[in-house]
Amino acid sequence: MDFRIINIATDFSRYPGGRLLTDGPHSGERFRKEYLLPVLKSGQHAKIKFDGARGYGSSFLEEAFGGLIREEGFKPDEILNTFDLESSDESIVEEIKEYIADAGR
Amino acid sequence: MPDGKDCTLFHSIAPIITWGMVIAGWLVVNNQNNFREKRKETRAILNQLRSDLDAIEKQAFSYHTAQEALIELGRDIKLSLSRISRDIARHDLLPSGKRHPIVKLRQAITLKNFDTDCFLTQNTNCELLEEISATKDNLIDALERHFKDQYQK
Repeated sequence: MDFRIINIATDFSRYPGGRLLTDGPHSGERFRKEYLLPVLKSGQHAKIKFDGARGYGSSFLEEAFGGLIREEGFKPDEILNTFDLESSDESIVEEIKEYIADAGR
Repeated sequence: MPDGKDCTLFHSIAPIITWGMVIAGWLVVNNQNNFREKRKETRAILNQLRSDLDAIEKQAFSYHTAQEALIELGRDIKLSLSRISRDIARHDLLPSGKRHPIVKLRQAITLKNFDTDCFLTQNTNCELLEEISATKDNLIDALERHFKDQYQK
């Protein structure tokens, strides 16, 4: 089984921020479309590493992960089974799981 | 009255009992000292965290009431929130798996009107700022409650 590692700080940006593409170059929407969607569509699995970035805004996290359900039509289980979320700040993982659960209701 | 055999036995084990009591006493005192030191240290960290949270609240108010989106200030706020969250985890200031109050504070500050192209200057008495203050207070309450549970039994 293919397994990718996506390190947000090194692969995407040390300053992820903003919800929509219009909010800036490192938005949640861009991260979702360029990094998360390809993994889901290819049936691969990925570990997403959050450490190293200079903090996360909730709008970025909600759009990136909640948007997978709201905008792209995936189910919460598909997302949770596809991505392994890794952060030394466990509140980040807790928050993302909340968005996935909320968007799935 | 003890016979000669009992006397000999008592004299041979008396020093062991004495040393045993000395060591047990030392362990109790040492444990109590360690507990007091740990409590003092945690109290100091908690006090620092309270002032850091007050500072974040002020920064968040400045950000949301500014005339335009202040990108650098926004980055500082996200970084400070991240540091606080890690400090809380590092020093076990909240029970593991119960980071909800940190999440709520981050959401209050950065979910709406943050890092956005459609920034709107907020009034000083708006709901968004009230939510920031409320979630900051809730986080402080949760930290204090956990401290009390751990150190003031």
